[in-house]
Amino acid sequence: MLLIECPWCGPREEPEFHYGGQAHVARPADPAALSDAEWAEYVFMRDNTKGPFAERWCHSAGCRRWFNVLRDTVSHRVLAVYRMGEAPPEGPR
Amino acid sequence: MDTPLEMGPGGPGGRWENPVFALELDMAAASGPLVALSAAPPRAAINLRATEGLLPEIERTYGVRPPTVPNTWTASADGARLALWLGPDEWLLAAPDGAASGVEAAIRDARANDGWLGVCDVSHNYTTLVLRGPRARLVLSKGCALDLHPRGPLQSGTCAQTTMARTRVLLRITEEADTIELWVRNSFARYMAAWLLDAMAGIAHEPRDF
Amino acid sequence: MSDDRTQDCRLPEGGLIDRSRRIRFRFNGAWMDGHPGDTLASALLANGVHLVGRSMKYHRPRGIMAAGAEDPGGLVQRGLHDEPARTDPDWRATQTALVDGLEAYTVGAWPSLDRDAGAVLGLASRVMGAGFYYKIMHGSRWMWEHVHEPLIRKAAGFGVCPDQPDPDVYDHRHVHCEVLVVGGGPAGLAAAGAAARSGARVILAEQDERLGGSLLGRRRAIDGQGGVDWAAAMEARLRASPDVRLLPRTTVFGYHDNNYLVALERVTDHLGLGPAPPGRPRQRLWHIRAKRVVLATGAHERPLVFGDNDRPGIMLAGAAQTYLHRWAVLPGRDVVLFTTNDRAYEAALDLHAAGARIHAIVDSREAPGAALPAAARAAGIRVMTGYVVGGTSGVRHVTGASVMKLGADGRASPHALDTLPCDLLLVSGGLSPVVHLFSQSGGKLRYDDGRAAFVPDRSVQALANAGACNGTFDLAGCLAEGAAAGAEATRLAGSDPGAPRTAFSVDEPAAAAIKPLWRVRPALVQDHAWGQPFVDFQNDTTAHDIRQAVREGFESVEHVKRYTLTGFGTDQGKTANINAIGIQAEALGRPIPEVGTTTFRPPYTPVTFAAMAGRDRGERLDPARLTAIHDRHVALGAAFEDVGQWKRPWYYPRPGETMHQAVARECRAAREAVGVLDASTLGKIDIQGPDAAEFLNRVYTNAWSKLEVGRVRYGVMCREDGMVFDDGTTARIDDTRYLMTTTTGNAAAVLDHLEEYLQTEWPDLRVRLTSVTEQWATVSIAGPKAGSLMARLASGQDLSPAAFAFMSWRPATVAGLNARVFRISFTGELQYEINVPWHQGGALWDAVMRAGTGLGVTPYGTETMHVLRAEKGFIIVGQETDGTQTPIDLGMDWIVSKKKPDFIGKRSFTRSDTARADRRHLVGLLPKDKRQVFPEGSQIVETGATRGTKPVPMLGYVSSAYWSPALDSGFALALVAGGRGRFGDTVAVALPSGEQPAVICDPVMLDKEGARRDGHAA
Repeated sequence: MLLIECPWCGPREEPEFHYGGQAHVARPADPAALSDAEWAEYVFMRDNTKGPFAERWCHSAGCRRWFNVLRDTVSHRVLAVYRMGEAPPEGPR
Repeated sequence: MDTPLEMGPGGPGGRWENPVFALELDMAAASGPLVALSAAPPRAAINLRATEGLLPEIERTYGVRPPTVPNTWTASADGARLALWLGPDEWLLAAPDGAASGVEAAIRDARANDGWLGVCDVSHNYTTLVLRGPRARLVLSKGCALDLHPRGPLQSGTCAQTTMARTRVLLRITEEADTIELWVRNSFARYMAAWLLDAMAGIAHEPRDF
Repeated sequence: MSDDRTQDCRLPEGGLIDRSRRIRFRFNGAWMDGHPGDTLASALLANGVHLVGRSMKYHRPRGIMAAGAEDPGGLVQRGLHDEPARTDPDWRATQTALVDGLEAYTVGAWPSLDRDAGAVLGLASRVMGAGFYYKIMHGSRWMWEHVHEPLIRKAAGFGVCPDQPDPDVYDHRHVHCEVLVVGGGPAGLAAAGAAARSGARVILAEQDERLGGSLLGRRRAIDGQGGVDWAAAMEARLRASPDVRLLPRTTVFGYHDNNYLVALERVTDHLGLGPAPPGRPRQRLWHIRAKRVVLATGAHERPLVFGDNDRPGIMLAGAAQTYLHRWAVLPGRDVVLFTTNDRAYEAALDLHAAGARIHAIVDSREAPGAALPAAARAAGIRVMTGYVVGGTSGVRHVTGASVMKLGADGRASPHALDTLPCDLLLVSGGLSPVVHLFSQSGGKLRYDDGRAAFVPDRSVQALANAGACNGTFDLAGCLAEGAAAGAEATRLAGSDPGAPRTAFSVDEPAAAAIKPLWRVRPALVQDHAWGQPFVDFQNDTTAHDIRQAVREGFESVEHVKRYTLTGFGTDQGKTANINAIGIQAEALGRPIPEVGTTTFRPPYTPVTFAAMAGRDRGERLDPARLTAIHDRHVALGAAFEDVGQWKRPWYYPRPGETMHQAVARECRAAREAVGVLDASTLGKIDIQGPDAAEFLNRVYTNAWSKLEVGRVRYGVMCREDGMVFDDGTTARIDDTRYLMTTTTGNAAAVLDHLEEYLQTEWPDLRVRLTSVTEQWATVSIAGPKAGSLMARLASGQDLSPAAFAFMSWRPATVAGLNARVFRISFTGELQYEINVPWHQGGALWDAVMRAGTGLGVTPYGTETMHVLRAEKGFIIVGQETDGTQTPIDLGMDWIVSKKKPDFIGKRSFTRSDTARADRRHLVGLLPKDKRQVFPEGSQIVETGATRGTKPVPMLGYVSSAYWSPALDSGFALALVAGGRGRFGDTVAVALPSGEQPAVICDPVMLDKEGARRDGHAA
């Protein structure tokens, strides 16, 4: 069970959070302009990274804020947390 | 057919029917000097969504400056009005019973022209249980994963939204560090009270708190 | 009752037992004596009982081999007859505290331990080799069901499960600390000692009831103080430290991410199996979050693999030493020691000093170390170097060891056979660090040639290893490493431990390096002639099985483990794994590091389900969410349905009524008079802000810009894939404020979904959301007399259909309460949904029931609600949808805006697959035989298709089916391929009884023109 550092509430247990998948996948500004394949890429396809992975979490049982987590998918170590709209910290993604 | 309603003290048919009314005798029987469980009396509650720039405005109308330090609460001088931090732009204002519509209207009216906010009466959304006594934190630690150590982060003046047993809860550590309010959604109130009653049984035999 | 046994094997003095008190206990029905401080295992050995169990597969007699958690065989069942609700089949004799009246039985022996019918399986061992279970499961199904499975179930079980609910309390505690020390042996005590009094919160967990670990089973001195006394003094010091929590009898059995560890404390188990003292739990599960962890879990001695190495009386050398020193038990008088290392010599010397006759020390090495072998020789003990034990004799107890010369080729020669008589054969294959928790934590292991063991290597968590679990086997090293690790952990956790003391003066004989021997390799090709060389004593895996697995092509250590069952079960390979890996490496002709090791998994030792459940049992298993009106429903005799966590009235049977009759009565009341429904469970979200309408435009498929204040609109919400996610009505409260309702089960998911878009995709939108689900209690009244009832409830206010338009809302005073009344309809009838503050919901319900007297007011439940809405073709998300339906599939094109440039899911409607003409459409389905109500989920096929080629092409399925009193017929909603183009077609519903004909029709079956919703029908 992860201990996730909410940017506002501090370290909390994983069950307080809701997982939101890969971070930094922006919703296309004009979906109508996309081909079926491009749209499917956005809707269905995500990276399956071994190592540091930027993902979104929501502190749903706490402050209800969405934020980003850089987590090592091998060690499950939380390497960094940062707010929505912020760029991931320097280093491998 | 406007039926005048009885004004019972939380019992069936009353103006403020308490969801844990059926457990009040059990709660009284299970309470003692080490730990006591009760339901708090009715209270107005307003959910406030605002930007930090609006807080002086809120303080002027409501009498309490909502805190910007996460997981803390502030109070008016007389302690009757509270503001609990829920999120970076969200607070829970707690005021005496019946004050909700007045507070809501005042805040709306005071809204600066350039600002906007969300203000919503949630007085009836919650049931507040109160756990007090030297072993209150120990009882909580049976179902809550936060660090409840008396020297830990949950000091008097703090609050925290978290999970307790199998439901969500808003904890408020009151002026007294051993008196803790549990705000739960009404539908979970009876479950939460029953769970706490079970956890309180045998508390006198616990070897040590923390 | 006469004394069947006396404590023949108890020495007259010594041991950490209370000889002033006698404890009476029963083992397999025979009464025996022991003393406080004994375990069941030590008491049995004191009484000369070695045979304690039968092995799982071959039912071979097995004895006590170890003195702690690593004992693979001594599983007993406590309280089988005395406490049928508390009996537990998984007690290790070595970890069971002796109490008065203890009743223990051997598990897995049938009909009895001495005459075991299953032992005949031992003869069949050659056909039950590696992969036995896999092979028979892939064989004849008939054989499996009728022969193999019943036989295996009878023979292989580890005991009897209780057949009654557990009557005891199991507690949970969450606790945080700066330093958690796992293990109370010398390294753990030194670590906790260094961390104590620094202000840091320290937890020391030890599975034994007594702290001291290996010090309790050896004769050692630390700084001139006896090891036992040193441990006691350290314990006293820790107890006096206010921030140290000592948890004896507590097994840390799981090490999870981010230093979350789970421990089981046996709070009152050691007091016996009867009821726990009032108010006290039997066990307590500790959830520990530690800033730093020090693992000081020690080492397990490993057995040696040779023919018939499993007979009772064959014991790990260190275990015998522990029984001698801690419990003053001499487990045998005629002793042979078989070893690969110096350390075990000490056991022989200690037993010799205690009066046992050591017939020989058989050492597989040509050149053992200096000090201990010299001491043995000086004591007159025969030391045979370059020899091995190749086989044993005896049936229920070992009687002799066959000693053989180890040749230059590493094979044992039977020609040099010399049988030594013995009743105790000590074995020692060296020490294996207990790396289970480290491995669970994600740490990687490294094979260390010098120690011939896997030791911790890379760690991914905030932890340190100290002492024997780290491969540091000497006492001085354990103490120094423990103290340093404890101090460092404290410092890293943010407290100042001061300068730790890391130099300890210890008297311990020097020990030379081990030379590993993974198995005794016979010179003959015919391995089996020497008897079974067991590797995993709990799972009956032999060296042959592992070699066979390799011969059959298995190379991965994980595959061999699963194929041979090595390291499975409650034992988790404590003694078996390393020998198995060594044998596999040899068979593969590869070095051990290339073979690697398996991953250890929690729990380290067994944990009961009751302990894991804790207080979340019975009514507390899951929260029951109750509405404000719940007690009224109970008083009315409602049957309840679980909708998510909510308890909703399902139907209200009157005395003597069946469910069918009750639902039919409720349906008629709502269609002919007035029905009352508690609709409080619908999710409600308050939406505020200048951009609220724009937000609704983006999340719903239809348009919201023109909805006026006071009006209500129905909306469907999709995900980006275009599939229906939720539906409900949303009302405009004022210029910038809306109230959205969601389905009951989806309330939290919808709020999450909306917040996600607001916070992550459209942070520029000025919109705020607040859940107000439980701010409001909702009573819905529906039926032709709903108008009359509303008039009675809200006197002086005109809420008639003429004055109060459909799909609008208004504030009103209802029964003296401040209410919001919505004119919406999910039944097709004239319907009002009255919302009042939650705490007044009960009062509103009472008022509605009183005011409805004379109007035929009838409470109805969710079943009737489903019938009424289905008759009108209204969908229920989750019933008519399963995440693969677009609004268009559901015939709701009218709700999909063509004008809005974008909304969630819009782009997906034109994907080639979503736009297919032959997608399944929502249709109505009327059975030709009106009496029929199809089971929900029934498959729909073309008429006659079930008699055609297989597989039968599926047209669709029944999503909802009910009896309709209004139609006087069964009816259904269904999803059928291209169904909207097939109204009037007859298809078949495939039931076990055969095809049942049904006609596809419009899903709206009642009041198509919608007159009833304004109260104009009937």
